[in-house]
Formats: sequence, structure tokens, C-alpha cells
Amino acid sequence: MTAAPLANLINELSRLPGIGAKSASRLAYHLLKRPAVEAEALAHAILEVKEKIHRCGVCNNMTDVEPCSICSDARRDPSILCVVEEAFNIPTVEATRDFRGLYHVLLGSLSPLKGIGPDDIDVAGVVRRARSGSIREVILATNPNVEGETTALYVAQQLRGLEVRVTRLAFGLPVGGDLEYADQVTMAKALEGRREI
Amino acid sequence: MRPDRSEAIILQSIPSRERDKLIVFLTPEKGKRKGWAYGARGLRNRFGAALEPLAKVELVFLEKESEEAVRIESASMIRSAFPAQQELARSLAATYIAESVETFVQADDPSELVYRLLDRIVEALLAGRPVEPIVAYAEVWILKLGGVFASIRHCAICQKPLERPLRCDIRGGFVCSGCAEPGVTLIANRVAELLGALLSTPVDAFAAMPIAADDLFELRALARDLRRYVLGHELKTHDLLQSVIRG
Repeated sequence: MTAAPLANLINELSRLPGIGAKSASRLAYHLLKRPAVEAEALAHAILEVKEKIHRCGVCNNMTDVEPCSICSDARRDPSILCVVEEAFNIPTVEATRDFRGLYHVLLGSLSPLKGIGPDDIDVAGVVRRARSGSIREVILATNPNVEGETTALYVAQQLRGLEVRVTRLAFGLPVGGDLEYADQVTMAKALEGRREI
Repeated sequence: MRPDRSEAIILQSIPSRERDKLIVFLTPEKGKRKGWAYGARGLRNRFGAALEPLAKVELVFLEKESEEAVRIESASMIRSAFPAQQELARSLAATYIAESVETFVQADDPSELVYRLLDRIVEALLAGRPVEPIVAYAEVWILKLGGVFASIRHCAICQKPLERPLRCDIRGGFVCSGCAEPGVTLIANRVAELLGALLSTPVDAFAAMPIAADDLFELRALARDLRRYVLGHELKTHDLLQSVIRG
């Protein structure tokens, strides 16, 4: 029989994405073994994030200042807008160190089967920013799957008629992979997007 | 546990947990099934694009009697629907048709006819045929194979040959004038002819036919009313598809 406070902690942890009952139990027992100060630091970090982090009013990124540090960075190129599905996609693009434009987070992807339609994601925000006149290019960096592609097509359709170049992230072979294992769609896309060297 | 092997068409691919996907697929022999594809969410996963909706694949899976969902071991692509999903209306139509099949096909029930229908429909979408006639074709045939769309030759009640105009009783199918109750829908002769053509023509030939927009609209409205009556609600993808098709 698990003590009630411990069972409660396991239950709360198992509600986190990617954490099953076994992992939740392991984490809970690990926390029990650690000094109280560490548990307090974790609890404080969770509370602080809930108190201080909110969505940027311009781009929907997660931030503790308004606007976020990316939107307010004068060294970035405000004429290029990279559209991503979720705020956690931004660090992936940032890690390339090649992109110096701004972002817009859609807050999801079009998924009619899950009841997520155009009004449930922030396509209007992208259109509004594109209409402002300062945007020259919109890069659609949605996921490389059917939902991501449908979302990109929908956003592109909404941007039609504006004087904005709309581009889509390339599909292709992963660096470090082996051609032998490439599936036919990825291979076809890689051939389609080939470039001269 | 012996691995099972089957040709299949993917109906839905649902991201689940940190790195996995729950796949709903249609096989000719065993109907609609569910299966776990472990690690399928990663960019370098072993399934590649083979588990994307409406891909036709050769699946190898393991089945445990105690579990509803199988474990997908491998998926080799036979034909991808991705090229058809590069156009918004076509992509939404594909999702809508997959949802229709998923809704009307029973789990673990042999579905060779539905499988062949879906296969041909995806071919037509890939061939670039007009989207709305393909959608209408799918709507009517999925209802027909689901036992909803009754015969247009004989009365659903007395089995006598049907006369024109056709009368549709939403609760029981097409009925003759003698069996018709107040409130039946009269189907215009040109729409009845279109319905007859749809039921006797392969999808690619039907989609290539010159069809008046009004007739197609009325035919789809008939299918929509029957579907809504049977389900008690509309399919989730319907409204978005309509808004894109109708511009």
C-alpha cells in the first residue's frame, strides 16, 4: 500500500506528457531520496514558471517580458517571419544560428479530426503581421506531415494576394542518414528540391 | 506471437506519448485495425512517411489476443498519398474520406470492397481529378457499402421497381409512390441519373464526366442528410472541407 502523499505525487507526475505510471513512480521515489532543498527548488521552479511566463502579445512565444526577447531584439531582421506550430519549435530553429528573422507561433496545427479548425489556431495573427507591410517573406516551418502540410497550405492560401514571399521548409534527407533507408516520399522530395553545387 | 502481414491503407495517424503513434488502418481481410508504431514520431524513424494518412503500405504487425491494438513492426510503402496532399482542397478531401471510412467500417470486419473503393479513390485524387466529384463518389459509396444507401431500382419496403421521380425516405431508403409517407424527399430526375451514373462508373471516369454544379450539390446534400440521420451528427472534417471547396 502506497502512502497517500506519495500516491498523490505519482498520480500528478503520471499526468505529464510522456510519463507513464512506472516512470512517475521512479521519479517520485527519486525525489523522496533527494534532500528537501532540491524538492523545494523544483516546486519553486514550477510555480515561478506558472506565475511569470505568458505568451508574447506579438508572436505567441513563451516569455517573461513583453514583447519577448526575440521580438524586441533590434539586431534581428523584421522582414522575415518564420511560422511554427508550437513555441517549443523555436529553440530548434534557433539552434541552427542561421535564422535571424522573427517568429510567429500558430499554437497548433489544423487537425479537423481533432476538431481543430482555422479559428482555433492563430492564422489571423500571421495575416495581420504580413499585412503590416514590414514583412517581406513568411517561412512556413510547420511539421513535415499531413497536418503540418495542410496547415502550411491553409496559411499560404490566407496570405495570397499580399505582397509577401511565402516559402516552405525543404523536405529532404537527414544529415548523417543513409540513402539506402530513405523512404520514397522523402527521396522524391529530396530530388524535387535538389540544388546545383 | 507470429508476425502477421497485410496490405493496408492508413486512415489516421495519432501522435501519442513522447515518440509513438497510434495508427488506424484498413486491411482488406480484417477491416479496420489499430496499431502502435513505437518511435514513429522521431524525424529519423524507421517508418518514414509510410504511416501518413492514406498511404498504401505493406504492414508487418504482432498481435496479442489480450490487446486491442497490434504492434506495428514495419511498414513498407506501396503508394504514398502525399503528392495529393500538396493542395489544400485535395488534402482536406483525403482527410474527410479517411474519416468517413473510419466511421462506417467496423473493426475486425472483412472490408475488401471498402478497401478497393478507398484504393481507387486515392488513385483518382493522385491523378488530379476534380475534387468534389471524387468526394461525392466517396460519400455515396461509403454509405452504400455501409448498408445505408439502399437500392435505387427497387422499393426498400415492397421491393417493387421504383418509378421516377425517386422518393427518398431518410429513415429507410428509396421507396415507391405506394409506400411513400408524407415528408419523403423527391429526387430530381437529373440528380437520379447522376446517382445512377455514380453507382455504375469507376471513380476516375465519374470524376472526369461533365457534371452540373447544382446536380452535384443536390446529390451531396442527399448523401449528407442520410449520413447525418444515421450518425446523429456530422463528420468532423466536413465543414472545413466545404468552406475550402466553396471558397
